[in-house]
Amino acid sequence: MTGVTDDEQDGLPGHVLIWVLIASEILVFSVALVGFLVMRLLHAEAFRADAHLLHAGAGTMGMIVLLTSGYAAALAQDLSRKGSVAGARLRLLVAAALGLVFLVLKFAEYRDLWLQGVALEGNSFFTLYALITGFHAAHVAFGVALLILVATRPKPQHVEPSVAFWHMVDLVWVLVFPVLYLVPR
Amino acid sequence: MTQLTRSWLVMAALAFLVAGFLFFSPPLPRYLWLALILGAAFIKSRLILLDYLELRSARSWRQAAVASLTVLLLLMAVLSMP
Repeated sequence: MTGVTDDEQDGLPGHVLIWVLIASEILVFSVALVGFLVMRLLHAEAFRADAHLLHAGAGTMGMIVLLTSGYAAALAQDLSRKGSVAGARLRLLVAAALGLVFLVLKFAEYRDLWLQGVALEGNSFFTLYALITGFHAAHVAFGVALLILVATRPKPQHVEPSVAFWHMVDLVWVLVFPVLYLVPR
Repeated sequence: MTQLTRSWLVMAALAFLVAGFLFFSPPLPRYLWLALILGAAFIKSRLILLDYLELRSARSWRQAAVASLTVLLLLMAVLSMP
């Protein structure tokens, strides 16, 4: 008895290189988040005050938008494997549109902080916040472009790595959101 | 209902649960607040790995990914406590 059921396998789903990319991206964001938490230990009071300037509601909304976008992308992958070109295309475009909604929410948040007079110079919290969320937003923008590009010809070999990248972006936000918005409160 | 839909519903429900706690701000001890937010992050991350990234049927990789995630979130919890 190995404990492995009939439908279990040991190989990675998809190409190994996309997993190298996913692992390295998760590692980079993890290091940044651990760095943020170490800085919070050193400046707990300042981080608590600065964290209250962030809109946790907008962050939560962004989370739900990204999770729903990931769901649409996963459905697109399933449909592309079944040969449904139109169904896969529609869901890829829905996923991309939700990615754009996330970016609009993010930029509205940046604008609001700017209008509140938040400056990056000499402020560890907002410097790290801008670095981490800005780097993540750049990944979202790239992912949206990728999904739109793949939607033009949604073949499974193109859809799978693009959707995997999109899920990585999703996974990163699931880790970033509690650390930046909720832990310092 | 497919596993994918179930996972999405669980993740959305967790996001709303945390939002509810944030909105109503019940007086929770810090360790319970951290358990709630990092526990929710763990469940959501695990579901993304297993169902969105399809590691559910890849036994060894699934175990390695979930173990790495557990270590990362435990480290975050330790650094968040004080």
